Amino acid sequence: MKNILKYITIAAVFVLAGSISAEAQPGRRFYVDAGWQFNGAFGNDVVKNASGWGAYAEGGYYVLPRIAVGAFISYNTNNEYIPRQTYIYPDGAALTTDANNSLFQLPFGATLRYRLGWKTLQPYAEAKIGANFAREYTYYPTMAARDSQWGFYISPEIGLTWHPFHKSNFGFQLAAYYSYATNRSDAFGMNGISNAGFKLGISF
Amino acid sequence: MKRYFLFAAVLLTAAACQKEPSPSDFDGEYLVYTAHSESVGDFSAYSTFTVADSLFAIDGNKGSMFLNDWAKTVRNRYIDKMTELGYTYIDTGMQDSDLEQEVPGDPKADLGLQISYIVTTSYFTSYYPTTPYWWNTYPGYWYPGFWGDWGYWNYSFPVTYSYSSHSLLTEMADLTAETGDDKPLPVVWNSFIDGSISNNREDAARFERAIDQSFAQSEYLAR
Repeated sequence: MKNILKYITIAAVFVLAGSISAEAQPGRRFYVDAGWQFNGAFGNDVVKNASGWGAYAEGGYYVLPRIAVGAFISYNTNNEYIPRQTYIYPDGAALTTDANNSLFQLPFGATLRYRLGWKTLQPYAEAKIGANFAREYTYYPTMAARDSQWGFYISPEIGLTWHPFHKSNFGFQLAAYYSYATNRSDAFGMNGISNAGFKLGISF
Repeated sequence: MKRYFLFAAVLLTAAACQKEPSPSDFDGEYLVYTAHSESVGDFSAYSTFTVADSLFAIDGNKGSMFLNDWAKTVRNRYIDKMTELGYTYIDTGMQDSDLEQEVPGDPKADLGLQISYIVTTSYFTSYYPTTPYWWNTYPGYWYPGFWGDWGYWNYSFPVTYSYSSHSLLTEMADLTAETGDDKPLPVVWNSFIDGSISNNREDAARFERAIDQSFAQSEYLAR
């Protein structure tokens, strides 16, 4: 039995080594992507809309020709106008105003990327996991109420990088993602944040 | 260690990128907040009211009484709205028609309104008494005891104050209540109107609409 396991292990090492040498990737093993992010927030009571007030940056290293590990950071603000209305409170107090709700998110963490190719077009699927800092505001005409908290963040993403220049890593990136963060605010009646959006950027 | 500082710098920079709404993202009307004392179940027990001769201007820690044309418009608006609700106006203190002459006979009213115009101040009424911690980060967080130094009013319901820039605070006191050194007049209703100063500090039209709204959302005041 021990011998069988030994042979399997040796065979696996050879297969893996063979696959690496057979798919030797061109160019550098590391990458850096950055650009503009358009994010739609939903599944919460603070803001439900989409906004282009965002950006992202990420980088990674291909430990295998198709598999890279790395890190990411991004941010987005989603603002939503609340038309003028009167709020009546249990003690009889009343407030009439318009307002702007705002949700700011700053997720960052680790990435695991799998790419389908490494030539001019490099489609990929990616998983992100990390922390999400969120800050909620209700802006009134001259003042604001706010809350902030941390949450756990997870996000699947599909995209592609396009490297049109010969012998250059410079290229462009297009990706779409979904994310969920566990941020919770009792004051703003928020229990989790779902997002979906797309990213446009450059890739090195 | 350098990497951690770089990472922290990136995080802080990104955290500062929140997009705030601009003044044009609001409709330009004033915010109106009203509250009343729960100890007063029925305002119809009051039948008469008076309004202080002048408005009380608060600028920082200094206060002064004033009565210009704009202040007269605001004061008259309160008199009109209270009269519409069924209360009878009593002229007290100095005569409305001649501010140099005292009203003869020292007439009494059941309710007294003091209107304060607040500029560059740091005080206002809390909108969310159940979650006051929201406001703790604002400059000038103040407690209601402040008002005791000015007009000898006393709140019988929870109120907190915070930052504002330009507002009208109106307090309605029960003048029939027993008073003494340790018994200041109880405030039974208040109204807080707040907005940006913009280019017109004493914006009569917007203030009048806001005053009307303060009564519209206080239906319990009707006799």
